[in-house]
Amino acid sequence: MNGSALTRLLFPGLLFVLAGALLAGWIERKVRARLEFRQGPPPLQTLTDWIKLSVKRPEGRRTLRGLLRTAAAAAGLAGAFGFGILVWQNRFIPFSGFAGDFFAWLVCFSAASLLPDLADTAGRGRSRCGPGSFNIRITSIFPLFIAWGVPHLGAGASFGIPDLIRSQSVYGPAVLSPEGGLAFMVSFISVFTAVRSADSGGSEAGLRIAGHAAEPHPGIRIALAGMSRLLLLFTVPEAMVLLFTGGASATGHWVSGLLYLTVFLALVAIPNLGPARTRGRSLRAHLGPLTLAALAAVGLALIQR
Amino acid sequence: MGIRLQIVTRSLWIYPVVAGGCNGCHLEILACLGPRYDLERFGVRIAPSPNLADAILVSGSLIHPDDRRLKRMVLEMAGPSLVLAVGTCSLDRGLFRDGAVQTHAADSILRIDLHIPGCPPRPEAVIAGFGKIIRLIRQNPDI
Repeated sequence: MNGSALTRLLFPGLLFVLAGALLAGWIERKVRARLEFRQGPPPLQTLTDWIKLSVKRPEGRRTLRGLLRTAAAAAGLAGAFGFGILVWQNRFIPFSGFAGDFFAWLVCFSAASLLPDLADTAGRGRSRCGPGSFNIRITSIFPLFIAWGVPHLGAGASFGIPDLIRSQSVYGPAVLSPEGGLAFMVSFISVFTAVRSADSGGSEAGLRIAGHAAEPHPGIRIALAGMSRLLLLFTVPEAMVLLFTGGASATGHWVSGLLYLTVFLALVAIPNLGPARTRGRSLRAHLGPLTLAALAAVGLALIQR
Repeated sequence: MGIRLQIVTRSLWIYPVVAGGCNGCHLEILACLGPRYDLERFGVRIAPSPNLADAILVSGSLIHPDDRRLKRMVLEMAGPSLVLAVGTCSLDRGLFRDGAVQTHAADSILRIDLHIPGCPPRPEAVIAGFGKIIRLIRQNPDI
């Protein structure tokens, strides 16, 4: 491998995405804290947590199930890594109209609200997804988005409404291609990993600790799974920005990423943007900052046009 | 103080265990993580698994199956591993001492590093307990 290829693989995939993943993880926790009327973690807390998990002394048994979980986490990490490279190398740039962008965005986040029910069903009867599962609702949709988006775009389609309508006929053959099948498998494994090892907030953990038999989890494995979640959390918003901007130019797509992060940082800075308390936390999580983020992104898209 | 200790004390993950009791102590622990006290400001959060936790918080008096589970949890913890007994029930079985069900205090099952008394203890007391844990980790790096 020559120097340029190594640079193209290492620099965007490792430095850019890893640093952004830590930032995105912090933003996720901060936004969640703001939704709960809290101040939230200090800066660099995600980095501190990850280093601490890595230096903890694991004493768990190495079973086949544990090895499978490690493999799932590694596959999720590799999938997000590859997707970050695709985004960075401008191979994942949709060309679409505004209505198509909005429809795709709506579909992605509507499906996010369905995933907790599926996870709850798969959770051996334990309620893993209470109203505070905001992080699971948001992050679990990203691998599914990859599974849908990569073969969709790989088949030459866009996110415009005509192509979305034709997506039923495009997606089937596309997912059977090597890259489409790989993307689908990686995304499925990532969803499995994210649901199985997603960290939870206080209220959720309080529900499932009574009589809950401990399961061995070496720290580095969970750290790996967490990093794959964070990578997905960072790389797919960038793709979302590309959706909203209707296909950015090859030279300026990073500007859109900065705009997206700026919107989220602004959301973090405001104490609470949700509707009234009486509407419930779940509704507030979906209609509060996300609605404003969508409006802001739509505004940015309109300005760019 | 080494970098490892600095990181651990700034990212303290806890795992509350509710044994037999009235659940009042557990509610006070959760209140520490709520908007009024917000311990996540200092890096404290609930771990998804005891193996990832730095401290286990036991509240309530233990009945027979739970003592075995608790022992297993502590054995599976990755260092640093601390055990805190929260509330009167975990100290001397409290209200359940003369009950029909045979219960055990937590310190008769495990080595307890810190007791937080109260029925239930106020969130301020629990937070003070966390401060003492951090001091304990700093004083004993091999804990």
